[in-house]
Amino acid sequence: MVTMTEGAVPLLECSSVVRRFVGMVAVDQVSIKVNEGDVLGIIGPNGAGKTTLFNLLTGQLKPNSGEVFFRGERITGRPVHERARLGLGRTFQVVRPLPALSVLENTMMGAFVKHPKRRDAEAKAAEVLEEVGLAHVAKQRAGDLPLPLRKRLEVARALATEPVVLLLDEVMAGLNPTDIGKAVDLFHHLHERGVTLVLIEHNLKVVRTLSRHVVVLDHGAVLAEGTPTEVLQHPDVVRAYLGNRR
Amino acid sequence: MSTQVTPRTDALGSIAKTLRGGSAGASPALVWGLYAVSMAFLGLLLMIVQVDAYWLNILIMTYLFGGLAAAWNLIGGFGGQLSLGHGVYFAVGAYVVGITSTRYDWSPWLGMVLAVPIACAVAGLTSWPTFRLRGPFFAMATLALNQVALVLALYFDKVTGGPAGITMPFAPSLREAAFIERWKYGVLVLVYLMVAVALSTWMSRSRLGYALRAVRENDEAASAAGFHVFKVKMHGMLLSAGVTAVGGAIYAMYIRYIDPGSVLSLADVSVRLVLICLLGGIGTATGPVLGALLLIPAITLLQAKLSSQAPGLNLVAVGAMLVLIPLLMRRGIVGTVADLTRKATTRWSR
Amino acid sequence: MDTFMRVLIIAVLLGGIYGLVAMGLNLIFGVVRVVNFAHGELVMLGMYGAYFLNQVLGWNVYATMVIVVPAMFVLGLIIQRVVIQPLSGQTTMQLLATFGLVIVFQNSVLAITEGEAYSVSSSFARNTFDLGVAKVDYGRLVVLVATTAVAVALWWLIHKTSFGRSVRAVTEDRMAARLMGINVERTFLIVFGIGSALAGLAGVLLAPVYTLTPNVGQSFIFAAFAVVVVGGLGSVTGAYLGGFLIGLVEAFSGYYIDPRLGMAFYFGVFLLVLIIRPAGLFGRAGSEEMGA
Repeated sequence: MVTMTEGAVPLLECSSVVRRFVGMVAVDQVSIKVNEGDVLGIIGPNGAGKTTLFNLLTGQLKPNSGEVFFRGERITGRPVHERARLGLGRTFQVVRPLPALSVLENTMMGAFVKHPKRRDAEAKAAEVLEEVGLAHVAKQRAGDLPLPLRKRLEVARALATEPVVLLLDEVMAGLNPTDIGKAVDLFHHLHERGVTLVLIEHNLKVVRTLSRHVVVLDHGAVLAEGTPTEVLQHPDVVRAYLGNRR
Repeated sequence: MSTQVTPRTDALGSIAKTLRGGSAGASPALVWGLYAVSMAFLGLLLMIVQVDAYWLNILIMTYLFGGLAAAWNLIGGFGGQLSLGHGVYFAVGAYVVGITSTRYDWSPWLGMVLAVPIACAVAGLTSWPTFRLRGPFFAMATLALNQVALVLALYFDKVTGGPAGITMPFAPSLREAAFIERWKYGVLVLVYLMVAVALSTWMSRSRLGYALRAVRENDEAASAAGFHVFKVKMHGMLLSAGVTAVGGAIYAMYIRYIDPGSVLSLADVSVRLVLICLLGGIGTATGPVLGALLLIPAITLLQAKLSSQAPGLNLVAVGAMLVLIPLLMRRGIVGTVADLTRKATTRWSR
Repeated sequence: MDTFMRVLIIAVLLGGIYGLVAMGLNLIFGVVRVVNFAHGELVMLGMYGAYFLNQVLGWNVYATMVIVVPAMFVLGLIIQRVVIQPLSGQTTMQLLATFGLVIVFQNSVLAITEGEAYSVSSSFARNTFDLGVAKVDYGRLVVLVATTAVAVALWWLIHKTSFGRSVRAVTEDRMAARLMGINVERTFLIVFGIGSALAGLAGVLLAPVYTLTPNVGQSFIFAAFAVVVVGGLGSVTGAYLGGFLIGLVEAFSGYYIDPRLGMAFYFGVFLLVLIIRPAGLFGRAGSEEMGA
C-alpha cells in the first residue's frame, strides 16, 4: 500500500475507478491514496492511462465506476471548478496560456478563486510569480514566453489557486537539464512549504529525486507501487516500462 | 512587487495595452483617463456635427451601434461566444417599448426598464441549452434563434403588429422620449455608448472579464482554475443581452417605427454588431467604438451612393468586408495597431 | 386519412429537397470542419446558372447540370483555397467569412437581376403523376430520386474508394492522416469541391420547382442546418434521414397548425435534439464539441 500512516484519512483517494472509452478501458480498477505532505509519482508507458487517471481525480472526466474522495469526503460527481475550490490544483500536459494577456494576468486567473477582488488577486499572483521565479517577466505577453517559462507559468496559475494538492502532468517534458534542475528545486520548495504533490513524469531521475512513493500504471491498471527504489527494480516494471526504453 | 521595467517601455507599453483593451496591466488612472478623453472627443464631435441634420443622423446611428457592438462584445468578444442572435435582444428592447407605449400608454423610459429583465429572461432560457455547444454549433443555434424570433414576430401580429409593425406616435415631450431637437437623441445615444464602453472597460479588468477570457481561450483550464464555466458564460450573456435591449429601446424612441424585417434583420442588426467588433477588434474595450465610427458612416454613404446604381451593391461591399477582414486584418484595427506598437516598444527597449 | 397521406407525401418530397441540400453541407461540415453558411447561396447560384443556360442557350433545364455541376465544383475549390484554407484553425473567422460570402452572393445576384424574380419553365417538371390521394409533380419526384442516388453514391465514395479512405482518415484524426502521408489540404479541397458541386446539382434540380430570387437559398439553408444537427455531424445517412424528419415536422406542423410557423417548429426540433443528444441522432457522441 502507498499509505504509510494507517488510520489517518488520506488527502486524496480513489478506489477502484474505471474509465472506458469507445473500444478500450483507459483506467481499470485503479485505487490510490495520497496522504497530506506526500509526493507521489505516477509513471508508466505512453497510453497507460496516467492523464486519464488525473482527469478522474480532478473531475475533467467522470469514472464509469469507482469513487474519488478528498479528505474522506466523496467528490466523485463534483465538477472541476468545485474541486479546484476545495484545493485540487493541476497543470495540463499541453500548456495553453492566454497568449494576449500578460504573465501576471494569466496567473491572476487562478488567484481569483480565493481572491474575488482584482487588487487582491493581483497581489497574490505577484507573490506566486516571485515564488516560481517569473517575477522578471510579469508584464510580458504570455504568448512571447519561451517553453520552459510557459511551463512554469502553468505551474504558477495552478499555484495561484492556493492548492492543497498539486497535480503536475509532465511539467518537465521538453525542458533541458538546467531547466529541469530549476523545476525540481521549485517542487522541493513547494513540498517543504506543505503542498502535497502528485506528478506524472517520464524522467525517472526526477521521479527518484522528488517522489517518496511511486505508482506504475500499465494498460490502465496498477502494475506496481512502493518506494522509487523498490518499484524501479520490480521485474514487471523493468519489462513493461523500462524494457521499451532500452 | 518586484516587476521592474524601464520607465519608457512601461509608459509606451501601457498606453498600447490600454488601446488594445487588455488594460489590466495599465494603471486605473490611465485607463479611465483615456476613457474620459475619448468620450469627451465623441461629445465634441456631436456638438460639431449637430448643425447638420444628415450627419447628425449618421452620428446617432454610429453611437447607437457602437454601444450595441460593445454590448455584443461582452459575451461575443470577451467570452468568445459567437452569437449571431443578438438581434433578438435588440428586438425585445424595441418591441417592449413599442408595445407598452402604444397599447398601455407607458412612458418609453418605463418600457426600457421593463425590457431589460425580459431580454435577460429570453437570454437565460435560450442560452441554457445552447451554451453546451461550442464554436460553429453555438453560432448556428443563435442564428436559428434570430430566425425563429423573426417568424414569431411576423406570426403573432396581435402582439407585434405583424409585418406592418408598430408606429409610435410622435408627441414631443420628455415623457414620450420624443424630441424635436434632434441633438437630444445625440445626447441619449452618447450616454448609452458611454455606459456600454464603461462596462467593457470595467470588464477588461474585472474578475468576470478574466473569467470570460479564460473560458474563451481554454475552458478546461478555466474550470481547473476554479471558474464555473457555465455560470461565467451566463453572467456575460445576461449582461450583454440587457445592454443590447436598452439599445433596442433607444432605437424605438428614435426611429419610432418597429417592424420584424428591420429589428430582426441579420444584415442590419445581428451580423452588423459582429462586423463592427471584427473591424475594430474583437474582445477589446475600444474596438467596438472604433469599428462603429468607421463602419456605420461607410455603410450609410455606400447605401446612398451604390444602391442608386443597382440594388444590393452596397451590401456586396459589406459582405466583402466580412470576408476580407478575417483574411487581412484578423485582430481588427485595435489589435493590428497594438501589434505594431508592441513591436516598436520592444525594439525601443532593446 | 387521405389528408394525412397527402401531407405525408408533401413531407417526403420536402424532405428530399432538404436532404439533398444538407448532404453537401454535411460533407463539408464533417470533413473540413467548417460550417459553410454560404451553402444555400451556392444552391441559389446553381439555380441561376441553370436558368441562364436554359434561357440563353435554350438547353433543357436538366441538361444544364453538365455545365453547372463542374462550374460549382470549381467555385468550391476557389472558396476553399482562397477563403477557408488561409483561415484554418480559426473557426470563428471562417464562420464570419462564409457569412460574408452569403451577403456577397445574394446581393451580387440582386444587383445583376435588379430584384426581378425568374422562373424556369419545364413542361416535364410541371407534369404531375397521380398517386390517388395526391398528385405529385415530376420536378419534385426527380429531386427525391436524386437525393437517394446521391446518398448511395456518397456512401460508396466514402466507404469503398481509396479517396474515401483518405477522407475518413482525415475526418478521424488530421494529424495521424498527415503522418500516414495523406495530403490533408488536397483532401479538404476536393471535399469542398464535391460539396459545392452537390449544391450546384441541387440548384439545377430545384430550379424548375422554386421561383428564383436572390435569397431563395435561405429557404433551404436553415432547414439544412437543422438536418445536419438532427442527423449528426458528417453522417451521410443522418443527412438523408434527417431531411425527411425535418420535412415531416414542417409539413405536419404547417398543415395542422400554421404554415407560417413551420420554421419555428423545425428549429424547436433542432434545439430539442441539441439538448437531448448534441451529437445528433446518427452522429457519434462528442463530435459536437469540435471547434473551440
